[in-house]
Amino acid sequence: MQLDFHYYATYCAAYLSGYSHREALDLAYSAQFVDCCTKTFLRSVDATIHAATTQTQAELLDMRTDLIGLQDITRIWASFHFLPRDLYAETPRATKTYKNKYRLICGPNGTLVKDTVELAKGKGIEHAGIAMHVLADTWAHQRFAGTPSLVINNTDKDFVEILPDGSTRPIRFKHAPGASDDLENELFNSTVFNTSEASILNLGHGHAGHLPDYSFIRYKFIPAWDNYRECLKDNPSDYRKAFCQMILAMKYLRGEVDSFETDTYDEDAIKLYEERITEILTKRQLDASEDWKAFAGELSGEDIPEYDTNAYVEEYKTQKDNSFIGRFILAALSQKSMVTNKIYTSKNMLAGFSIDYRSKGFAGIKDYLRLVSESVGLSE
Amino acid sequence: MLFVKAETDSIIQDNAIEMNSPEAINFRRNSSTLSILGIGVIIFGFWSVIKIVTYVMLGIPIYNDADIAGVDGMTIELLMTVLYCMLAGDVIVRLIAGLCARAEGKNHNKRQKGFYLGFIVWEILFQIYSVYTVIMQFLSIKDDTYVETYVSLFMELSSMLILIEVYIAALSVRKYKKRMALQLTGK
Repeated sequence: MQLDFHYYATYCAAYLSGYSHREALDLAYSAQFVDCCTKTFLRSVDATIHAATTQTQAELLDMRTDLIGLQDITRIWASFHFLPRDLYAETPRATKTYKNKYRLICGPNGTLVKDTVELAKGKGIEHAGIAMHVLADTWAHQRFAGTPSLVINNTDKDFVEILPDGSTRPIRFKHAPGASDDLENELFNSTVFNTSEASILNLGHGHAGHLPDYSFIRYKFIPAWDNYRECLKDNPSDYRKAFCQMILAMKYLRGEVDSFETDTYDEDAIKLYEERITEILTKRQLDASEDWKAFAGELSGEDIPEYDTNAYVEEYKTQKDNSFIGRFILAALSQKSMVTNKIYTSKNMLAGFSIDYRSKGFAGIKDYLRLVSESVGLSE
Repeated sequence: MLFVKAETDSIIQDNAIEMNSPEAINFRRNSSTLSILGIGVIIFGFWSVIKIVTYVMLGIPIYNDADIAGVDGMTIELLMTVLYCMLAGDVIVRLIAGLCARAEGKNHNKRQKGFYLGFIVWEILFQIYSVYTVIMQFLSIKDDTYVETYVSLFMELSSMLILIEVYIAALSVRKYKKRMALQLTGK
């Protein structure tokens, strides 16, 4: 997913779930900020780099893909963009190494989504925004894993688009970094094939290009891990479910509903706007920001400002932990810590060690000490 | 009111029909086998060449001196020429068979040549004979050529198994395509 959904559509979902314009705006900003909070950005504002929620291409190229580097990459991508669906999933005739990677495959309605939303309960808007980003990405990025792996993330080259009339059209890929996708000629950018299992080129949905990020597209492809089974990705339907699930999750965060259950969607909330939302989701375009922005304006009657990564930088420089970015950092550390711990306790070392503070005391990266103090403070 | 929505779009449902039937999955697996092992067939074609070149370069005799006692130099040269021609022919046949198998696996209709299965059968027979001679050689080892014969046996067996697998995969792929064509024409 990209800015159109993480910012504008999240604003719409937040507003429909009952948040005020200002709250919805901050929540949407936080959701989109997950895609911008890189180590480079954090260094530029003198904040802890351990709160990074994403990595730029340059940062990834600079990463070493040794054990420590891979664990760092996995912590970031599995926690915020490719939340694992089932950390105890079984696959027949597989080695432990393969199984560990297989278990990191992202998908919606897993127990970790519930954990993510519940973790954000009672916390600030910033934490809710992060949870909404993670939740939405479980729909868009499903069937790919947030760890570099050729055997999991590679795909067959024969992608086929299913057009609205039911006919099919082959999708072609090019490898031209920076170039935009050509919808008319079905020519999309994707990462170049690399035979190295742990190459960063094999991270996430790179081999499928930006197809998972476009709401309008329906396509068929064969993921490397699915034993030659062809999978069908219906983005308009998935994005709609993501939207309805976000509304439900935010109602839970606001205390309007008692519990957040997976595989449940607040369809009623969008009943009045059904056609409008379907129209936006199915419109053949690379960026739906303008349409979502217009819809957001219709909903709240307010003007939605353009997203600006640096909007809260000055505030952070003076107020640190009491600023928007300060609270976002703490929320990001919390989410990363929770997912890493869940992966570690499933006896999977791909995201590294996780030490339980309550039984072992504090150890490890000191930036997390603030998070521990915060949690202890809350529990007391 | 909150409720679970599980139904899928009708377009998607239509496209999902038969998409992952066991036959379709098997077809994809066999197509992939063809396209990967097609390269294997070509690579193993160079094995004999590499073996002969290594023999010549290291000065290892290709034939037993006792076997050719009494044969004149001209005849030996002629026999060697025939051997080199056969090797070149073998490489060409494997190259054609490998490329055709790959094209069939990737479904490149224009480049598909049905006759390559004949080449594959020929190569399998040739390979069975090779394995047989290596096994005979293996059983009659008297000196320190044990490792060399063992490697030869491993290579010849691998080559034979690849050819057999290509043959089986090609038959399976064709059977599926034929069935699909019949279904489409309604016969």
